[in-house]
Amino acid sequence: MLEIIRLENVTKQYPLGQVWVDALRGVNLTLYSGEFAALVGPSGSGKSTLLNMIGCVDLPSTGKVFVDGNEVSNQSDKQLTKLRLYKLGFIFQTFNLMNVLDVYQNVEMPLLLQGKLSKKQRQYRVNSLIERVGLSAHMKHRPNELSGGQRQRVSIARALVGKPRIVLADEPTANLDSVTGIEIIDLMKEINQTDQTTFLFSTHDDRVVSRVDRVIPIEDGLIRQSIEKGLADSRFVNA
Amino acid sequence: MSFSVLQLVFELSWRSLWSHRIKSVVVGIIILFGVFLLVVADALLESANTAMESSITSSITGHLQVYDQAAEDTLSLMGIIGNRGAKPSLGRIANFKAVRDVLASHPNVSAVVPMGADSAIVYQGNAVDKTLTALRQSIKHNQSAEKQNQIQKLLMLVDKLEEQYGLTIDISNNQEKFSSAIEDLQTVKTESFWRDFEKNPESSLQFLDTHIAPLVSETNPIFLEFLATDITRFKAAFYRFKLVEGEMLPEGARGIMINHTQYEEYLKDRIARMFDVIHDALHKENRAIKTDLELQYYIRRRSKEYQLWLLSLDARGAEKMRRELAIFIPSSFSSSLQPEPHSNVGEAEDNNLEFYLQQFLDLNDENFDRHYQFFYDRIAPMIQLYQVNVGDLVPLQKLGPGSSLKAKFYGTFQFEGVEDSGFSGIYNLIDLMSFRDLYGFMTEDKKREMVQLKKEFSTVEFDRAGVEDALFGGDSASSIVDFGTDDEKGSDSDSDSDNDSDSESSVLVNTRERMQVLIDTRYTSEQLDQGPVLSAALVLKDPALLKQTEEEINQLIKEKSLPLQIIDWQTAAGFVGQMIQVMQIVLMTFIVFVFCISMVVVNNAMLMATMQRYPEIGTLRAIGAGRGIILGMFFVESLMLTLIAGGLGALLGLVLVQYLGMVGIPAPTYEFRFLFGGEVLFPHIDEDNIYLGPLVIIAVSIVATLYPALLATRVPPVVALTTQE
Repeated sequence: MLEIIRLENVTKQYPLGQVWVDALRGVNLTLYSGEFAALVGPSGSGKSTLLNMIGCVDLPSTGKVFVDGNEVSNQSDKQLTKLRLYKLGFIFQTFNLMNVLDVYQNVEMPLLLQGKLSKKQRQYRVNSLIERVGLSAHMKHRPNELSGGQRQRVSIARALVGKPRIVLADEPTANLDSVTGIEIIDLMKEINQTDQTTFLFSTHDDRVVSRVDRVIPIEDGLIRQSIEKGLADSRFVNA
Repeated sequence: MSFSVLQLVFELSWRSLWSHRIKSVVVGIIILFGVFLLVVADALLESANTAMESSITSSITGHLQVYDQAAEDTLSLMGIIGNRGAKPSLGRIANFKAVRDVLASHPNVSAVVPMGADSAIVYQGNAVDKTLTALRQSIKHNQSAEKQNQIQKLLMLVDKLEEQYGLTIDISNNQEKFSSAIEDLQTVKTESFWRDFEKNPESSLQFLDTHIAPLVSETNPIFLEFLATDITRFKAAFYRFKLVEGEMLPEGARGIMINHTQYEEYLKDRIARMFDVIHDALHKENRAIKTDLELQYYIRRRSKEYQLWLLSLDARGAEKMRRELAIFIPSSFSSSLQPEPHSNVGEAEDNNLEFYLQQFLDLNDENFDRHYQFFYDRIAPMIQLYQVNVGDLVPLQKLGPGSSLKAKFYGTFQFEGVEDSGFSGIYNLIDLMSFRDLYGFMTEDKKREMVQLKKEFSTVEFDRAGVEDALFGGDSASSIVDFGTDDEKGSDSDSDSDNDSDSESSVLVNTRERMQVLIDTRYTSEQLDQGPVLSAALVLKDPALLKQTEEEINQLIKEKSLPLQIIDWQTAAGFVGQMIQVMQIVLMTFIVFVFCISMVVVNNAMLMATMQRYPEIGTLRAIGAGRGIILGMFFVESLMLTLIAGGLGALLGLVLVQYLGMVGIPAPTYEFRFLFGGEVLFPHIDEDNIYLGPLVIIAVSIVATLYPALLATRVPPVVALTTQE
């Protein structure tokens, strides 16, 4: 199995008013290609901070974060931007779509930023992804014309369009009703299984937890023992 | 950044402008207003600047002025106002011709006009003086009817004076002087005085000259600023110069021309002037006497000056005016406030002139037009409407100790477009020869030079000394200027007139002839040039090259080692030039102020917008947008806004300026006429104006946007993930 993410003794302190908060207190974690994993823990446990470290949007106070073999701390802002653009996909709790752009444009944006594909190639890839998430009929709609579930589907398409090594999803179902939430998780699971795309969620939603292959419990900035299931089990046996 | 990314940036910018419509419109309006204001203000400033420049350069100063290098003070042609006490020491250009030859050789100089500025008192004899002069004339020509008439008039004046002195003697500090005055006045009323008069008129006239004439207080002495110049050159160089009344000062002749505005304002009968002023106030400015305290006060004050008419009218004239008014007044009475119509006619017939004049000059909105009409139809022909008339010989006296002379008054002029400005209107014109005489430019050296000159240019064949005596009314045969010295002018200013009237009567015929010779003398421009002037005005062919030309001429002056210095029109215009600079600074400050305000507002609006959009920026950063894209997005956004709003503002400004350029902006006050270069300013758009506004506003908005945009690029992507909506 290919290693995509590795964290070594990662700590993170950040100021909260007058005091410093230890958000992460020495996290070691490795994620492999094709995993469908969830960071699970109560609020304030450090889920989001950990996700930000992995997403290269925040840097650790100490320790090392490797994304696809690149050590994050050594990278310039430009290089980090590039890492995010090519290697990572983001799905946000609040969707964070560009309200001024329509569905197609939102999904196309990472491709434009990458600037590698021709218009035709982009069209093909964007269209097929939108179809995949079931929004072909809403191609020209603006995000505020869509339901929460539909918006999160756009998010998923946007996260996937640049063919990232890993998709990071910060509480993707928190703003959705339970039925829609499950639909979204199922969609991601399906993509994970057919395309071998790696997913890492943060969540405290039990229904999400029940659908992932690997649960990474986090509490007080430390990872407890991972609960591996399915695919992870076989790897475990092989190792 | 590839084309498609640029497209994305534009798309994002454009769409966010649209989706934040309200903010965009508010900021847009500010930018629009800023550019609008800038374009309009700049066009107005520029137009007013050009107009002011033209007001000055085409009326008095020219573009450049040269004057004596050794001058202690800076030449300021329009700074003389309010500076009469301390006359600037300007030295002189000893030989104008030499200077002109050099300066005229510069390719950008179209005219070199000689100049000299100084003040003079226009002296008019008082009523007794005039009557005595007429009396002398009538004796000389044996006109007994006229003689009797003048004696009657004199007695009327004596009555008036006795009344005046009787009224004021009690409150005077100088009881003695007043008593002797009244004694003298009573002497004149005795029969014995007139018996002596018949026997020996000259000694009685002497008594009247020395004892009675000084008792009349002078009418306000009239100070006039004179600009001496070669009128032919002046007329050719200063295109705004226009004749109004009379005729042009003939080429090479001695004489003066009076500024028409001053002629109306200071030399016109003061009640006639009042009628004019009120007429304009009511009909041009739409004011009303009833509601206008200023007008009421003006009428009350001025209308008392009919006393001067009483002094100047002879018995026949007074009776004629009384009868005219007696017919006119009752009708206006009965129509307005007379409750008993049967009594007014008979009574009115018995009233005196003073009573009627008081009624006549009691002006209000209802009667003004009728009275105005009546005044010009019937009254004006009976009075002396102007203190000097075209064709008169006007006695001029230099301010302070010095000389006086008489100069023929040829006509009045205006500087077209700046008639009433009060700035370029300060000067009257005098010929160079009279100026040199009046202000003592003929030193012993110069006189010797003149003798030399006369030999060289033997065109002037007349007894110069004699002619000049006649002109200056003096008996000083040897000197051109030392008639009327300090001693003669003495402490008692009221007797100034003695010399003039004395000599005029005693050598009347002879003087008249000789004076005529002097008036008819025409000097060639060579003669005019060969002599001292105070400064020379340079008029340029291309005023845009002013600075360059100034330097080149300075160089020229040094090369030819002429003892001159050169200044531009703004300096030469003295306090007016400074005022223009101050105005420019004020207007520029205003524009800069407007800029700063709009910059702060744009900056603030952008900053607010940026902060509101932190999640959006964070998201973009998180999904892989670099700082350049964020910067570009914000920049393009404000640039688009600026271009659209600024463009619209510039367009609106252009439209307004074009419109104003068609209808014109009327000058609200006299001073503005000068700034506007006329009654109406027609603003115009220079090419500079069109580009300047938008360019500067774009520059400002870039600066104003830079900070928020840079701030935006510093937004860490983590913000997007942690911000809860």
